[in-house]
Amino acid sequence: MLITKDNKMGDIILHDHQLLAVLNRFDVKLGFGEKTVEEVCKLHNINTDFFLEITNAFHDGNFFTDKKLKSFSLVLIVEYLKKSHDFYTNKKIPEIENLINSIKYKTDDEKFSAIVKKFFKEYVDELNSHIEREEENVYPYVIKLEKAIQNKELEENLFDEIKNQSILKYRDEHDNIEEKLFDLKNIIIKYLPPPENSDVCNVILAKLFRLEQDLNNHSTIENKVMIPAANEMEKEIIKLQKQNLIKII
Amino acid sequence: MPQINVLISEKAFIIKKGLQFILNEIENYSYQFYQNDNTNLKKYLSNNNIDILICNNEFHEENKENIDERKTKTIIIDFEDKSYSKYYINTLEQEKSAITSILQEAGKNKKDKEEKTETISEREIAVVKCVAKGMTNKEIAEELFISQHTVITHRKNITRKLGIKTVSGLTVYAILNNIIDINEVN
Repeated sequence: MLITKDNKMGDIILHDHQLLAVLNRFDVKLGFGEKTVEEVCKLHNINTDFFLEITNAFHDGNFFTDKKLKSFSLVLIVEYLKKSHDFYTNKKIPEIENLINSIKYKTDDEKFSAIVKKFFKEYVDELNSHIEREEENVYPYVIKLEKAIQNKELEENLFDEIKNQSILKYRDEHDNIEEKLFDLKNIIIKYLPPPENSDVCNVILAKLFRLEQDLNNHSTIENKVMIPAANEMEKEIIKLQKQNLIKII
Repeated sequence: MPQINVLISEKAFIIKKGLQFILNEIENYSYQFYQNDNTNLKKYLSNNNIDILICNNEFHEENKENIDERKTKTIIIDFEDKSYSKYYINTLEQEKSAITSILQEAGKNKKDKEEKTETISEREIAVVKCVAKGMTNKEIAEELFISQHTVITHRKNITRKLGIKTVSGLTVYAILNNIIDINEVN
């Protein structure tokens, strides 16, 4: 289904409840009544077109063939990406962690529980340092690029970074945090002994699959939208500099 | 069952949606769309382990030398078949089953090849043990008297068979299967 501005917000949630996670990132709360997507967006001061692109991309993974997302300000995109980081670290990870701490095994409980906990902790550490690097280096850099083009001026050290096409370096180093999550699922499904409380493991797995999908969506926005847009801006700035159309201060 | 990765390089919306619809119904087939945004096709095919490429005649002609035929089977989708590719779907085809069987035929090779060995061998267990101890490929090669290249091949096969990609994942596997004692891990 293609979500449009005239759809009722309540209907799109009934159609795909996973979108609640996205609404959360836009600070939209339940209780829509019969309001349409556009009306709810206006009420919350949200750019409706941007909201539609994000929800459609989230709803249908193949929606990304559309180039429209690239036309939005990177400030909007980065803001959304940060909100989703926040959702992972402050909501999802603690939820899963609590559940993982409550798994019980019939035999050797101490040993097996320790193994799962340790593995999960390693994953969380990796995820956190990944997020930290993005929020401290990559996102601010991308925003600076956009500002430089708008203001037609930039600082010299930023220009040095641009000459090295830093965003491509970041892309190549963009480490694969999905791999550990993939392993965690397999270890629980295939290699750990049957737990005493299977229902807990089922909930954990459901949450892991969900998180994985959300993370994939997140990195698709980074790889298909943010990085190409930033790279184009890098090239643009180099071109402008050659024609003396941008000031280096 | 090994997964068959399909790459669709096609711009026409109706054809894309049609393929998507059919592919969703075939077990173990996953698909992605190729966006022609300067990404190197050759690299893309090998990085994503693409088994089947679906494209039109024109695209195929332009990119022939970038497609490793041993690894990736090309299915031409077009209103007429001007190529020498073994697999061809006519856009005017009226029977869904005819299209499904071409897609399945093209993925068959991989299934036969991979289904034979799914448990890990003695040698691979030895490699898992070394990896779990935190040894590098070079150290493993020296320990087991094999080349680093062989170590890499073993590791690739282990990952495929166990579905575990990371070192810490393999360490957990090794502990759980008593390949290594928990105290040996730092």
